[in-house]
Amino acid sequence: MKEVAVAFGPEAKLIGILTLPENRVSEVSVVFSNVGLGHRIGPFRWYVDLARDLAKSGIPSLRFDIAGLGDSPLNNDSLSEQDRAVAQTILACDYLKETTQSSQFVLLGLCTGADRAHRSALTDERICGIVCLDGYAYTTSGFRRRRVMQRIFSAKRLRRFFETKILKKTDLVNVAQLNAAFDFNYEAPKHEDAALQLLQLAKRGLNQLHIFTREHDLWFNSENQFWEMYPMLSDFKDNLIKVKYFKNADHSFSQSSPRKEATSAILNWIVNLNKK
Amino acid sequence: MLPQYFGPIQSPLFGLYTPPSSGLQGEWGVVFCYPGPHEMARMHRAFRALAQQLEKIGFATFRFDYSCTGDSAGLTTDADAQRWLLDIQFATEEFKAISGVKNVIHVGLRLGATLLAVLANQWPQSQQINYILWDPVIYGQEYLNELNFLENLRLRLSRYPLEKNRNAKKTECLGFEDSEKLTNGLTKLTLENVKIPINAKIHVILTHKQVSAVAFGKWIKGLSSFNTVNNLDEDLHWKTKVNLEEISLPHKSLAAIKSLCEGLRQ
Repeated sequence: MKEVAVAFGPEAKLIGILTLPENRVSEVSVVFSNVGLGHRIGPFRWYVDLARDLAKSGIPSLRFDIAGLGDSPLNNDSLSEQDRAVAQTILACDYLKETTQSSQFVLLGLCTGADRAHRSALTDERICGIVCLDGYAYTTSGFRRRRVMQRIFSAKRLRRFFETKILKKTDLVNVAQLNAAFDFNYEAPKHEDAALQLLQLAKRGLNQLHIFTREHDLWFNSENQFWEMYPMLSDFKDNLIKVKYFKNADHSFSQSSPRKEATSAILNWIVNLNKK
Repeated sequence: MLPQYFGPIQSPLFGLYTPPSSGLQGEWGVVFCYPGPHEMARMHRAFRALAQQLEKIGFATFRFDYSCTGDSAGLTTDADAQRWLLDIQFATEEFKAISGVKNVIHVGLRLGATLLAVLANQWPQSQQINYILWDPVIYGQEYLNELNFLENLRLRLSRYPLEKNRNAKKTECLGFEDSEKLTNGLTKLTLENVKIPINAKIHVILTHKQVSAVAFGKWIKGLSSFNTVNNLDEDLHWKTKVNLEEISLPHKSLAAIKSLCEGLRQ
């Protein structure tokens, strides 16, 4: 395995790391997208580990910073943030094609990164797969039913009620305030648009791995919800489209155990994609 | 900008060299020494902003990742503060070689500042020491306790069932798996008896009223007339920040560092 620091794109201002395997197994490469405002190493260096594991499986990858994020300076184009991210993801694919002779690409992104992967896949047919972690989610009747039950039977909620209302503990941090600080807003497509786009991508033969975490629970609370949100995709279930729900993981996979589970799921999925 | 790997072939370090804006004098340069990985993610953007500001006023800069952190080689579980001391020396040599600068200012934040202070007596005598120590960690054990406190607070406040590893044998903290070498090294680390050469130019920036840091600042100041302590009213919440995804951009600190770099150059 070899890691190469690169600067590519207009004026060579996009900074990234190419992780190259000793022995290639296919023509597929992986492109990692930034998470929120974070830089290319991913949350808790997860993408570094994932890229190295991919290289051990014979798959090259590029972790890079979109202009304005991480180490890449903001450029002077007039594009919106979302359009710039798509344009530069395509540039990253071009760069991988040039340097590794890859002809097909898998895009991997968490949260806003999942949005970038989705939008980029719509514009470039060389993209053969997307891994979306805590991507788009839309509430369903099933979601609302499960949420009511979860709230009724939440031990933590009951304990907090007991501590604040019965024991009148005042030293507790304001949880609502804390949770508000965790909110990260970006504009997702409307539910019906997302459904049509995913259908279009599936009909094109794009492989999709959708991973959701417990912390996405304001919008998503069961693996089945994906099929509730997109019933028209059921023909592609477990064939082109796979869904995994990590009920012990938080949004950024801050704990090593679910992070390792997710790493293994992603690796297997990409390696199997190579065998198709 | 020039991203590159440098240092030992078997465990290369990632570095990013930024030359000064074209046409500007480039005899002075700045090497950034990042905080530990637990605090680095939220400060990365601040260091980029600082590099951009310094570039515009004629400073070359070099940012790098310690081994087993960021893009550098090695596993998180193998991190070692002793090795990070060597990494700072490698980075400084590399920076001098590619930039041609004659005078280097080191800017260290938190653990990075601590490592610089420890290194103060290990540079070649020919090298003038120009340090900006930003919120240095004074006692390694106290720092570890702070990280563990934040981890416990984070687990307690989570609205979803994170694994309760705070009650089991602790193996990770704030998203990173523990490194035994790092923990052991930090436990013994203290700036209490650190030796500082008499001609060292050291500026300390404190953004919070940590008693030991203030005492350290006073002690540093007493060593030489070149040394100053700058108290800023800009709490970076080292001891209370539980949101691991939040990004900090401390404008007052960055402005103070820029101004101190200009002062050292004159």
